[in-house]
Amino acid sequence: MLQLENVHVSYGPIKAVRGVSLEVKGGEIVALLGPNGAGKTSLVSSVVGLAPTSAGKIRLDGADITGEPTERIVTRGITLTPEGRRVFADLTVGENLQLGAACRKDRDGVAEDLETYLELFPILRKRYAARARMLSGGEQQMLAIARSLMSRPKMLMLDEPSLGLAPRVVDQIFELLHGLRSKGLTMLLVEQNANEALDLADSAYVIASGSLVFGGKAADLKASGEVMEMYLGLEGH
Amino acid sequence: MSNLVQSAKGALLLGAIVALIAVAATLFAEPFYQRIVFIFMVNLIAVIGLQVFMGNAGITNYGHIAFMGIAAYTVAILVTPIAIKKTALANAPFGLAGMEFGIWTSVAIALLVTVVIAFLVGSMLVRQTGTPASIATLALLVIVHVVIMNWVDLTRGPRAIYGVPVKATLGWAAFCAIAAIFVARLFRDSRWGLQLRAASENIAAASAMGVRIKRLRLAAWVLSAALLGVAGVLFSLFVGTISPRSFYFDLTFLTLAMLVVGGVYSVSGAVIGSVVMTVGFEITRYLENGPSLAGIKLPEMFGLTGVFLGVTIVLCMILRPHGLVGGDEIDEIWRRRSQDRAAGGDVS
Repeated sequence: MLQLENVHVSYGPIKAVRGVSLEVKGGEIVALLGPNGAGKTSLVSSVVGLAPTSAGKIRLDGADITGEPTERIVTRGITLTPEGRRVFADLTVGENLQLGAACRKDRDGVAEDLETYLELFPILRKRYAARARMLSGGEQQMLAIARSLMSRPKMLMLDEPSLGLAPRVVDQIFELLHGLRSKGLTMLLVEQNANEALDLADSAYVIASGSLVFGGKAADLKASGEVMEMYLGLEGH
Repeated sequence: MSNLVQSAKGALLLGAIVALIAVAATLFAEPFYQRIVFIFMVNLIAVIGLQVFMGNAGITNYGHIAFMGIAAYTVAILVTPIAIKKTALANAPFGLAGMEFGIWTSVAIALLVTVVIAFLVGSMLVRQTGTPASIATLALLVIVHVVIMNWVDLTRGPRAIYGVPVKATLGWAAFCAIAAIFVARLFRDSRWGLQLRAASENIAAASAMGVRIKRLRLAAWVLSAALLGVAGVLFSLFVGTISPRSFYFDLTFLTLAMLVVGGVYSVSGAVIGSVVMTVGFEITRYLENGPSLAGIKLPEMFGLTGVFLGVTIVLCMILRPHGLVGGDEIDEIWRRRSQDRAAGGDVS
């Protein structure tokens, strides 16, 4: 579904990503792991046109989307849930969800999806007219994910959905992602929480200092003690 | 769509306040006070126009009055009778000295010129965010002022243009103010307005949603300029004499103060701020001239209005930084508060 070929991301003289190639197949969950500052956020931002791709190709279903404006890419069916629960705090839960569908023109479809996700997230229905700032951290992350889903993506990229959440809430989020996988949603999951992410993912990539250091099956990564220890600070199994 | 019905209801409430003021002034007020009410209506339209851009795009605007000036001058130059132009604007370029347009044609051309200039300036301006954008708007105000001051053949420069037919009535001003309230409120609550407000709160998240921020900013900028154009046209056609000083820092800061005191983020704030500041301003102006109150002769206090303006803004910034109304429209406040309470106090 999504193919990255030798992608470079630079902010002026600073090279954040130096030639990463990876592939996400339809229906798969792919984990993108790596330490702080490895370039994970830059990489997923470049996919949706929010960070400048200085070299390389990004393909969605074979079509070259490198350098396209964000609204075009979102319309093509790929959405990023940005890092740090970026909900619109002063707007209501309902307005946040409406904004997820900013690129869609099919009003009936939007209304239908809204109903679907209010069904899936009962807490959002309960607090539909409340301002997003009134929600707890976990609820805000649910809202951020539901908002991304409102664009009706074929593929969802989640940037650190578990960041700063209590362990119990992290479990809820991962449970939710399990549920979305069973509905056939393709996902690219950026995480620091490597163990949870690898339990969920089919395949995994590890980047460090802007370059790929591992790419393969999630199970193989778990088995590879060296990579786990060196880059993720975890004991291999 | 139910939320547009809701916002039309909110606009109706604000419009009723304006209509009430206009009717009361027409029935009971002396001509002197009717004049104040007319100027209030003009300022109100200007403040609403300012709110459309500042409140939704989240960029402080110091250049709005430039558009009021452009529209006021354009309509004045077009509509003034040839007989007066022979003495006032004998050297007007483009053969304008020998032309005289009907009232509606003049108004239409003035608004069109304003909107076209706003579009051109806006196309450049919307690439900036925050303070750089605000400084660009300030530059716009100065540039327009300098052009008016120096294009003497067309504008009479620093001297006033006189003899503009007095065609605007209080009724028209009130009608335009009410229409402006509806336009501003519907824009704020529309899909576009919502996306723009979201972008001003969190540009990264809005970009990820695919919101076309620059395009929406431009739309708000042009709509804002059009409303200021209406205010300028009404001013020109009511006062009958315009000079560059009418459209410079004094009016810029008066209208900004009205909006900031009322609340930038809502049309209700624009309306309530305009009412409160106008009343306060007229009272201080009365005191400024040293009237006798309860047998005591007060001294003349020139500059009291300026002090009032400054003190009000400072107090407002300290006590109510979001303005008297706050972030929500008045019809939303009760609804939102009860919903927030239902959501519980687990604020994170």
